Amino acid sequence: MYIYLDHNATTRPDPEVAVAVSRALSETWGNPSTLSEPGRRAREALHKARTQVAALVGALEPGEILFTSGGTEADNLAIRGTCWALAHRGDHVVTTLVEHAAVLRSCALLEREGFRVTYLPVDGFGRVDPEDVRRAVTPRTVLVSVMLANNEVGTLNAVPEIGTICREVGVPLHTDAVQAMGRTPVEVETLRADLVSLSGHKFYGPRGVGALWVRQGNPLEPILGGGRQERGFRPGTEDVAGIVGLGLAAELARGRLVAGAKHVSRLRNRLWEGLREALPGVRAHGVLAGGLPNTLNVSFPGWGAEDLVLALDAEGIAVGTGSACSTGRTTPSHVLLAMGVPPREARSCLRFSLGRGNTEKEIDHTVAVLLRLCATREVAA
Amino acid sequence: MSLIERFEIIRVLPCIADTAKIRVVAQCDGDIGEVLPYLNATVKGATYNPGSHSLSVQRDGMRFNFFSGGVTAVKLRDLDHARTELQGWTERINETWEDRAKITPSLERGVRLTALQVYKALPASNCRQCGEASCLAFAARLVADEVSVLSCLPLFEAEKRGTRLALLELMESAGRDVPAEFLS
Repeated sequence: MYIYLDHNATTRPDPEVAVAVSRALSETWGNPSTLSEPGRRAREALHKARTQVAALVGALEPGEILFTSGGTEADNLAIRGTCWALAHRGDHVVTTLVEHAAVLRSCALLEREGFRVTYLPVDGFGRVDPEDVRRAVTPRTVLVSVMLANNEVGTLNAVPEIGTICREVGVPLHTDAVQAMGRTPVEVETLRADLVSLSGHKFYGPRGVGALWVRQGNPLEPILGGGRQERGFRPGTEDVAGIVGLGLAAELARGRLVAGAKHVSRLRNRLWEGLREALPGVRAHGVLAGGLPNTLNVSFPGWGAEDLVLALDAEGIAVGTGSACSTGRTTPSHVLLAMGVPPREARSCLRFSLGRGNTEKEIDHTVAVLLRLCATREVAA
Repeated sequence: MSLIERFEIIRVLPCIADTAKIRVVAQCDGDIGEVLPYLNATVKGATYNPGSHSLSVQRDGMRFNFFSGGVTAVKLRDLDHARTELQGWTERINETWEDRAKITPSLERGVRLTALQVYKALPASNCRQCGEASCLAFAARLVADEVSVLSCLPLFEAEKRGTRLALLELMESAGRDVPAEFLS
């Protein structure tokens, strides 16, 4: 038995999705930009997937969905594409200290190109104050980018309030909803955002495919040079099979959202209670109630996170140390540091992220293994 | 031509600071004394000690101290980890030696981060948003690894990019952890 508690890193594709991708690879292989029968079939498959993804986010029109190679490209397109489209109006971007690297590095690239970026702080739970957004916006601001759900601690930002402020001041709002999708409701109208990024592999779809929802009329420049695919905003022949998988995963996620959230929330709380009762030194970071229902970030004093991850892996349990994009280094998470967690404690944090396949038995076994490891460590220390 | 073929681990001990980790002493099959000034010039975070003609490097929580005949390394996970790291250093040493004609060797002491250096690199507004009484107090705690550079909020204002990058580069050159997301 291998227990997988790292669903914020990636999810195992749903078997139905895997079948659909495989079938599309062999049957829907045409180039959607061509006029012949294989091309028409591919185009129809794209339209169906676009409709499925649009339904997941509550988009008015399927055409508001642009397919990308994943969340990172969606973030890059949203941020760089909007800023360059509005470069005649200003050169200032507002974001937060706790964004995913895809957002922060997009902003860093813009800085090198002459834009200026304000990085807003967060509170001890990882939340940005919407009023800080209002104060940071200037007449030169062309974009605000604030993530919906944090990938490391699961905290949800008040994006609807931030969206209201952005409308008042006339600045587009992008939200990276990669971790929120399929785990908590994401309705673009409720969010009052103008651009929303998502990634297929976070909600049981395939890797290598994602999407950007763009509100009709939002200024956008393509960031890649090439053909006129995706309404001219994203050149390159579409990965039809991956997109078919993304569409089906979106449809399945929509149907399973409520029950899935309830299931993982119950297990996540059971995990935390089990750890908290037996290990008084542990501390949870982020918000449990009101955050992503599947995520729990915990510090284990005296441990280095990487050592504990490897020890758990040897026991057949997969957890994360934070952002999967950060593995391979022991530098503490910028998210935890921005929340005010001391560096030493931040180096001891594990991220448990649960999925719909996890069971009570798996959670109880994980707690038991952690207690044993921590007891051993105390003896060794 | 390779300067050394390998490091041979001759002693394994528990770490003093962290008993779950190990420290190792390894000998190399050649003299690496001559390559140390070249490593000093090229390895970020290296600290050269002219007195003992040794080079100290901190990386990912580990610390390596190279001398002419070998290396001591601390805070390694286990023996496999030690072998992997030392193999990586063998390759780095040989690559540096092969490229030595293109490198200006350095016998200068490496950057040892001080509170005063950090203080001078901060926006120095004494705004107290970090929770400290002054920028100097914040600098001292930053050097002691008790707080993060992300707690200095003025550093992340739009107009402070140059100041921010200079501080992050100063910290990185001293072998400190820096949030790579903000380096550009």
